[in-house]
Amino acid sequence: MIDADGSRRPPQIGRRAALRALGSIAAGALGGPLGGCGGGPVHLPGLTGDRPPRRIWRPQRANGATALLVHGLGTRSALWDLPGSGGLAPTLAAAGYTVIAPELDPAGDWSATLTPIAAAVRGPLFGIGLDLGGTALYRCPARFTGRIGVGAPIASGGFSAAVRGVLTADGAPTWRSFERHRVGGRRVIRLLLTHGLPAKVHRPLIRAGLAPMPAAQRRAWHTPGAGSAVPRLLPDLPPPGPAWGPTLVVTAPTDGLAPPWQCDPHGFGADWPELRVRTASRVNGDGREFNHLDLAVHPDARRRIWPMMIDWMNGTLEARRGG
Amino acid sequence: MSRRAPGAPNPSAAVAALIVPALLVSTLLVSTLLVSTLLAGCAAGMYPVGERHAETLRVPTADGAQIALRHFPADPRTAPRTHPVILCHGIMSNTYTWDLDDEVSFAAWLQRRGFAVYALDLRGGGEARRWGGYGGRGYTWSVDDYVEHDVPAAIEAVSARHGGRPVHWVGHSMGGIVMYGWLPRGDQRRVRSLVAVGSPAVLPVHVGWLRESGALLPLAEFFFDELPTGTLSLLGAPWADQKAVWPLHMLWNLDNLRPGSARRMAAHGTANLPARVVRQFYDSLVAGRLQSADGRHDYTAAMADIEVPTLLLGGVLDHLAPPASMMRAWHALGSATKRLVILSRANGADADFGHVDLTLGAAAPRDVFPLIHDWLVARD
Repeated sequence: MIDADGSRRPPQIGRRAALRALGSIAAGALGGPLGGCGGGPVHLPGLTGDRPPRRIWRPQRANGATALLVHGLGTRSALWDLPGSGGLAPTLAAAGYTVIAPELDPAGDWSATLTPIAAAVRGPLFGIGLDLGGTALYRCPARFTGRIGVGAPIASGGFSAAVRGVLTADGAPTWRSFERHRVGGRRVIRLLLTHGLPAKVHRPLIRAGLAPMPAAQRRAWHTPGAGSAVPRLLPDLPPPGPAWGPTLVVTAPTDGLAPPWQCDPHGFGADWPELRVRTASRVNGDGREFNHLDLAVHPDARRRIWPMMIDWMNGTLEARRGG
Repeated sequence: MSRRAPGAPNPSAAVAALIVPALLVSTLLVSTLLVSTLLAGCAAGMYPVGERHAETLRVPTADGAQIALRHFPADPRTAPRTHPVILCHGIMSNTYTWDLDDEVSFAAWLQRRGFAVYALDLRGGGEARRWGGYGGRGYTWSVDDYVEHDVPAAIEAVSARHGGRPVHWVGHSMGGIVMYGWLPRGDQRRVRSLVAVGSPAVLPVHVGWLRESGALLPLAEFFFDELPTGTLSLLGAPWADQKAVWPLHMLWNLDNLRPGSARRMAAHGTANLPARVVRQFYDSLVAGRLQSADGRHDYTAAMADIEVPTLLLGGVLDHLAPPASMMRAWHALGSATKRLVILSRANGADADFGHVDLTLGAAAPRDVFPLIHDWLVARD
C-alpha cells in the first residue's frame, strides 16, 4: 500500500474485511454461500451442471423469487460482491431473493447461455444485467417476471471517440489497460468507467472484477451503428415494446460507455405501461453523477440505486401475485 | 345600557378575535412584500449584467401584443454575412440567455464574426414585459400564441430590415420548440436554417418529481394567471449556485458555470410564466408529444413537414431536453439536412453540459459557439 507521500506501509485488514473473510471461510466449510456471505459454485434443484460457473446466494428469508445477475463485457461476476461496495448480490439476498450470478464466457453467445439457466429457475425470475449483460437479457427469449438493464445499450452508434477507441481496439484489452490510455487528455477509465471509486472498491475491482473484452463482442455492438452519429436500435434485438413486459432501465447521463440515448427506449419512440426509466443523477436527489460501473459498484449506488431497484422488483412481484 | 346575559358571547371580544389576526396577517404580508421588494432590488443591483446591444426594436404582433428585439449590428471590421440571425430564449427566460455579461454573450460573440444579430424577447419576457399590453388579454397566452403571432412578427421585422432576406433562427429550449411549431405552418423559405439548442421533441419524463409536481398545477392555476417564477427566481438569486439545492441541477451543471453566472441569470434572466404555458407543457409531458393548448394539434408529428436544415444541440446533463428526447427531435424532423450533437466530456467537449449552460456555460464559447457559427456560415 502506498501513502500519499509515496511511502510504503503494510496493508491493514479492517474489522469488516476480517468478518467477511470469516464468513467466506464458514461458507466454504458448509459447501456454499450462506445469507449473502459470499458466492461459489453450488447446485440448485433443477439447475444442474457447472457450466457456466455461477455464484449463488441463498436468502435467509426467501420470498420465492430469483434474481439472475449478468455482468457486462469486460467484467466478471465477482463484480456483484466486491468487498467495499456492499455487493448487489448479497443486498438482493438480504431482501429475500435467491441470486444467481453466472460467469459468462467473454467470447460466447450470452443470450444462448442465459436461456437454459433462466428456464431452469422455478418461480418468479428477475434478470438484472449490466452493460451488454443487460442487452443479452433483453435478447433472451426466456420469460422473466421483470428485466432490469443497468447501463445496458439497446442501440449502436453515436459513439464518442473514446468508446470507438475501446470498441475497435486490437486484441482483447481489459479495463486495466484503459487506465493508461488517454483520449483528449483524459484517462479513458474516467471518461467511460467511473467518476472515481473509493480505494476499498477500486482495488478489488481491478483485482477480481475485470475481464478481457474480445473483439467479436465489441464488434457485435459497434458494427451496426458504425458511422452513424445518432444511435440505431440493435438489429437483433426484439423491438422494445409491451412484449418486453415489466422493464426497468437504469441509466446515468454521464455514463460515458452507454449513455441514456443508447439505453432509453423513449429515445426510439418506444413506451409501454410496464416500462420505467430511472435516471441516476443529482437532479433526482442521488447526490452525485454516476458513470458506467459506478451504477453497479459505487457505495452511493448501494444507498440510492439498489434500494430503488429492489422496490421495483418487490412491486412487480406484488402486482404479479395480485397483491 | 343593556346588560349582557351571563354566558352570552362578548361581541367586542369576537371582533377583536377577528381583527387582531387579520392585522397580524396583513402586517406580515406587507412586511414580506416590502422585504421582498428590497431584496429583489438588492439582488438585481448586486449582480450587474451590463448592456451590449445597440438598440431595441419594439414590434407589435398581429394580436396586439408586443415583442422586443435587441439589435447587435454586425461588426463593421469583419466581412459581413448575408443573413441576419434571430436568437430566441426559452421558457421562463429572456434575452439574457444569449447575452448575460461581457464574458458570456453569444450575441456579441456572433456579432464580432460579421452577423447581424437580433435577440428576441417573446411577449411578457425581458424588455417586452415593460410594454405589457398582451393584446388586452392579460397574462393568459399559451405557447400557441408565441408560434402564431410572436415568431412571424419577429421574422417579418428582422427580414424587412435586411432586404427581405431569410433569417437564421437560433432557439434555446422553447425558443427552438416555437420554430418546430411555426415551420410546418409558415413559409419555410423565410428561414435559412434552424439551430435548436436543448429543444426537445417530447418533454422529459425521467425527472420523477417534475412530473409529480404537476399535481400542484391546478392549485397554482386557481390563484395565478401569472406565476411569479421570475420574482421568486430574483429573490432566490443569492442561492442560485448552491449544489445542495438539487432541483437546480435540472437547470444547469454548476460545474460548467463561471462564478456569478447562475446568480446573474437568476436575478435578470428569468420571467414570470403564464399558467397556461405551464399547463400546455405539462399536458404535453403527460401526452408524450408537444401539442397545442387545446390538444388538437400535434407539434411533434408535424415536425415531419419541416424542410429547413437543422442543427440540434443537446447537453448530456440537460434534464429538460435530455439526449434521448433530442434524439426524438432528430428522428421527428423531416429536414434532409439535420445534425445532432450531444455535448459531453466523453464526446470531447470540455464539460458535461446542462440546459442553461448550453448558452451560458464556461465552456460554451469553446464547445457550443463555434459549432453554431460554423453551421450558420456553411448555410449563409
